[in-house]
Amino acid sequence: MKVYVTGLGLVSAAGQGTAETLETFRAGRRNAGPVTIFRSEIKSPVYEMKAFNKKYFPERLRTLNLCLAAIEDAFGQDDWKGELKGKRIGVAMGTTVGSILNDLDFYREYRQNGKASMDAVDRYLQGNLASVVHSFLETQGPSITVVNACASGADAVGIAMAWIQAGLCDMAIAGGSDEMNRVPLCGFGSLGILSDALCAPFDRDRTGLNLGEGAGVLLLENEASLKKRGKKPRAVISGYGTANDAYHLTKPEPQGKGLERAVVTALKQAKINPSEISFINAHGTATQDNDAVESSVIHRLFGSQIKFLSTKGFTGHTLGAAGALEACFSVLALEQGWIPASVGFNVQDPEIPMTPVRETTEIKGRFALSTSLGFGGCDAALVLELCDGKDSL
Amino acid sequence: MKPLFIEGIGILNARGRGLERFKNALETGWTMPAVSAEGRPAYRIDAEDLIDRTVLKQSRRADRFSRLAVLTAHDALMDAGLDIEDAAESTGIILATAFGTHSTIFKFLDDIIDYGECNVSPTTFAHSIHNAAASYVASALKCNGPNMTITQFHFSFHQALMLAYAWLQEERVDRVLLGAVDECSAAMEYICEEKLSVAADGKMKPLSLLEKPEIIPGEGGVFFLLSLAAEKGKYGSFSDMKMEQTFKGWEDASFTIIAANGMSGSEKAYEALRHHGKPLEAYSPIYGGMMTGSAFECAAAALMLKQQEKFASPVLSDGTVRENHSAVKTDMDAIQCVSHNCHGELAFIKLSK
Repeated sequence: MKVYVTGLGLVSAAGQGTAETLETFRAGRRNAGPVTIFRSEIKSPVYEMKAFNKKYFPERLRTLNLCLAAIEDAFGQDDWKGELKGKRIGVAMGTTVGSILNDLDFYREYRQNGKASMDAVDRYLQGNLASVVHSFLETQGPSITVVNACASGADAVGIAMAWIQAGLCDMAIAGGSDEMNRVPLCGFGSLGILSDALCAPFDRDRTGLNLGEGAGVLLLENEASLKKRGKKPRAVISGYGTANDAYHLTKPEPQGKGLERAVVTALKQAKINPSEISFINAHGTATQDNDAVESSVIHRLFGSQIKFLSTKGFTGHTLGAAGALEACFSVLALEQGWIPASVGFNVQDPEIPMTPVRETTEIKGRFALSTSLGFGGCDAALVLELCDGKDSL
Repeated sequence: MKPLFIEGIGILNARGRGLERFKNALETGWTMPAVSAEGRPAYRIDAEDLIDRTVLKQSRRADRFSRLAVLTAHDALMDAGLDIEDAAESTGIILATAFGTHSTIFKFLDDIIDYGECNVSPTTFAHSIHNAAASYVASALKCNGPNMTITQFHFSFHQALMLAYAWLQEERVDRVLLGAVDECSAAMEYICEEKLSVAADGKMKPLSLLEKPEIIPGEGGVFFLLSLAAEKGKYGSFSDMKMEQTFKGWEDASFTIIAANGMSGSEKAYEALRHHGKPLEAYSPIYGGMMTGSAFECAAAALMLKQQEKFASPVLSDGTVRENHSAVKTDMDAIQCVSHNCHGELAFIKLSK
């Protein structure tokens, strides 16, 4: 059964919505700077959503607000709240900080006094992404908040695809959302993988990642739902692969066997050969380990001529949102017929046997691959297929 | 829904590790919870039960939450008569949790407060990530298949079960290790005290179906090894599941286990089920209140279906502790487990022999 994409919701430092995002990509603009959302000693640049002001819920539920903004964007002009009530719609959302009780003020107060205001706890209990979206939109269907580190967004899309194919729902809102937060900023800093400069994915002189925030959402549906809603499909989620390295909490397995399994599974489900992939939107965080392992897998499976890029130079690493945002970017690229330059890349790494695209590059073909790697050894791959006229229903 | 057959179960809670200990707890009934230095009662796991130098050999640095996950996942695999080599790529892992590794997150916040943002421990950070426990399970069991951690508060286990069904249905994997894990901490016990009503007498009264139920916080882990292979269904199967507000239950269920555990507000919603003529049972006074408590109820149901013996609820509807706990031999084809969340939504799981 085909799972169609009928809407994309994009909220990141690269832009709110498709038009802004494409303009940023074309211009090669990098909207990064020092962290401003909270005071921090850490100097690594971050990709904040400075202009973001949508408030569906109280401001401090930022991950949830980012998520709902992306959902609204994905529905476009449609009555996104009224239309969905009571329908068999699944909600799968990936996140990292959105699912953690990590409020420093609450904990400091509790530690000092043995008691604390419950405001932070209430926010946390109100902030489970999928649960809130499911209640907010009054949908009837499975809902799941995926907390699979940086692969969460891609996994949420894969899970929603599986639900639709298993007949558990007719439509799904799938994606990921994460806000700029002190805990991952300190944590990634402690691991020595934050860069003090703008990130440079796959570059010889890369020194680590920059954190970002945002949300990406895909509206997925089966053929019956598509017909009923009178929607035109934009793409198909053709394949999803997921595997685990079973190796280390924070380092990818050096040979990339887990990622390879995930990619091969996704290609197999899509029933295509590697040569049919027109480009790869790689995870490309700009850490030494990620980029070395990921590029070796890409080279092994696709050869040195495959067009590939990392969009982290435009968005920063948006953690639980990354896989979903990058799946959205991949669909947009298939529709537009071009991919942006892999910004940040300047110098070829002799250890990396291939080169990401250096400029806006034309692409031809129907299929794209988006890869994600996460702490805990999680690997995920999505194959996205462009819908041309033949798929119009 | 195609039945998901239960090949093995691993379980660990305040009453000990393993199915025998769980069975013994169900037969023994209610016991007084331990009281912390702060004077808060909780059903906490004995530290000795989280030590296993063989199984945890590769997980020596793991935090408490991860050790709990590794031990129960391992035990489920062993209970199914499988070896670690049998898991490999063909087994998926799904870990459901309500509050995840919160105690390690608080430890990381301790670091920020005590040493500053630039001097925190990378090891603590790595363990504070939600999916660290599932990663440890994968490493300990050499399981390279799909690995997912999900959180959905009250319905975490139900949603994970649905995902297990989808994975098996699409033949992504041959088996799924499906688990639910949650832990107590001093901070979480404080939060429970503030947000909920803690039972001053140490006794939860789930069958009283109170407007303001009382809780004793609990902790534990349960893993089920699931497949579509009927011949391997040592404990029967998860045979159906519903999350529909109009659903009233299955005709062939012998009785209903309710997840009344003081975690989701008024328990009056379960009253309607009583009117449907099925006896209600509740076992939460054995292991305490957890949002993932449904997994323990399903383990109890699986055990009862296997043995064709019904365990008595440890605390009666009038709030008194049951004196006689002998399991009663009963012919049972199916048992239903029901849970509701804070929004009043109900989730039903049916287990069949």
